[in-house]
Amino acid sequence: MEPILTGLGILTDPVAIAVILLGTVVGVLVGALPGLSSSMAVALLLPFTIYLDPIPAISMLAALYCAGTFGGSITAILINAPGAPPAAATAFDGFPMAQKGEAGRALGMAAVSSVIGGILSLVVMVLAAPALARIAHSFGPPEYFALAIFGLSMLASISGKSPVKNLIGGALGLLIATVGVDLTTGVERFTFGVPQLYEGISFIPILIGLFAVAELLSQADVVDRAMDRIALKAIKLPSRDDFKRVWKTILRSSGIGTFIGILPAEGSTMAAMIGYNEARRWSKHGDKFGTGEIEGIAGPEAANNAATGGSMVPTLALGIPGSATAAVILGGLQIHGIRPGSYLFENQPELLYSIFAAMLVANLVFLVFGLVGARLFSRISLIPRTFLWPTVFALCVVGAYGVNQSLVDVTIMLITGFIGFWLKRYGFGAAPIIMGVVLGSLVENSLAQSLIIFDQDASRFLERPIALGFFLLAFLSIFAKPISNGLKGLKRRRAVNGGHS
Amino acid sequence: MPSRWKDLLPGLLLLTMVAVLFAVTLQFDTVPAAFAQGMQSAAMPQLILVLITILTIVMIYQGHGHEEDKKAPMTWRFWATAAVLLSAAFLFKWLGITLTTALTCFALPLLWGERRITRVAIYSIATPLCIYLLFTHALQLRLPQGVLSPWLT
Repeated sequence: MEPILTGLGILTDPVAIAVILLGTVVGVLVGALPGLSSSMAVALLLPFTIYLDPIPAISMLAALYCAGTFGGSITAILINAPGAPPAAATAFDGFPMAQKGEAGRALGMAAVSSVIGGILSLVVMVLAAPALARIAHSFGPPEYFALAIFGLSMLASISGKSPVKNLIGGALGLLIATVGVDLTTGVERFTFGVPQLYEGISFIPILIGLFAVAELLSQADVVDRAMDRIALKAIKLPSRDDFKRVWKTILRSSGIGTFIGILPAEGSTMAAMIGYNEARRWSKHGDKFGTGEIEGIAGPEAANNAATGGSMVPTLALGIPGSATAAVILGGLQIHGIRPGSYLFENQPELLYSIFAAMLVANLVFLVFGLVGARLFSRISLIPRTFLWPTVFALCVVGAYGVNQSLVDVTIMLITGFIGFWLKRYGFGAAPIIMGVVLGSLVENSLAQSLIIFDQDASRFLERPIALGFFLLAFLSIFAKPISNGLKGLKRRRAVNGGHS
Repeated sequence: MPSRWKDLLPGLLLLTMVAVLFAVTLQFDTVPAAFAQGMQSAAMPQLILVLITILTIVMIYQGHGHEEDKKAPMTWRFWATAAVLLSAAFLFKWLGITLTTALTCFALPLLWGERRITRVAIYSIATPLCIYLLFTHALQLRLPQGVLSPWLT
């Protein structure tokens, strides 16, 4: 009981409340701005949290994560330009509703479904994370190695055109994590005589470079387009009839979103898409989806916000990020000297409840902001690109410099920004690379320790049932789709051959 | 470049990078097995590089017979923006973060088509000034000020 009270005590700390509110406002604003994602906002804000105590710092990032996911729906509904990828599905029915003069009803439903999805997932988080951490208590290095491989293998199924490119991105991230002096042997690796690289490449410049500078370079060639901006008179809370129609959708999507969030690497975007598709599949008005159906808003919005709480479960309990933004938050935990996993729940159990409280407050605050301030937040998209992105660049520079007070980190940020731009142009996402960087030391250390335990015989991984289970899951997450496609092709060919004979 | 080999260019660049980095790993020092605790320092990078090679070959194979995706053209604006950012990287040391940021905040809006020069000028002074005040005075972070060091402390 004491950790719960201590954790929830954050709500009585004025500084903590102020930073949570700040995180929520920044989250909604950034979420509403097309091109700026919550991952990028968390990456940009992370260096500044170093000046805070760990608990308010992580709480602010968690609040930003929740609010950023909701913020995207405002511009998705009002101008058909999702502020963030998880809100893309919301635009399918949100914008048609707005065109029909129902923008207020659509935004009200988006806010309420987001809050319900978010809060339900937080309940799951607070129950499941300690349970999962207790299970993980019995894990040794072989199990952790297998778990990290499973986490990385899930990159094959995250959103993006090519699973193999996501896996290459993850491997590149692992490679970046090997830079610096090997702590076991004391041997320099890929330092090329640069003393600042002896301790490895800092996480924050890579994050900022890949998420923010790469996007800035992409924006250089974006032509401003005039968008239909739907006038918003007032936001309406969902009516009783609306609720009757969507409550099952909200509950189903909350479950889907939480489950997808818990899966390593899968984030809000996939949750929203599946939430939308399932809402359409189960709806009596499925054929009208895309023309302004209220369930088409409730489904993705409940799912994408539920994924935020879900994704914090593996992040806190196992140290395996549940999404790209959770990977950044995991980096934040590491920077603040917090070790996720069973150790965290034994030594700092109050952190979980602080994060719970912060995300709960964020959900309630963005409900109020969503209902009262949507009109104002939608105007944020009127900020000219020509002023927005140079400001982002200025914050990138200070953020990259601030952690180690080193201009080398600023140079690393710019280099990774250029590399990130090129990779993005060829279909490689930033999220897999970040996942690889975050998991790099876990993969290497647990493999080395496992080999010592196994006396250099890697085949003995097969003697550990949990590790074997994770390896099988990893195999399935990479090969399930190709195998299923192959079987379908075989069936088709047989059917064609059968028809000919 | 054959058009029916999607992803050939990134694939070849990745393979070249892998080859170079693998050669670098061969130069890593080795330590006695007792100190290596299971793995020599080159083992993990080499394992990852082999994995990247395999995945890259799969990517190139999957791209065979497919047209390269159409990409947005890179206009002069992109190259000019890249040049500004690279120049900034070199200028930070001499001009300091505040002055370099001011110059960047002045150049980028103009490059991106902003024509209201007074607004750009005000913006390019106000943004770095706010950042300077916030970080140097509120957060006590000493930003390198280069030639402005005598005045901005």
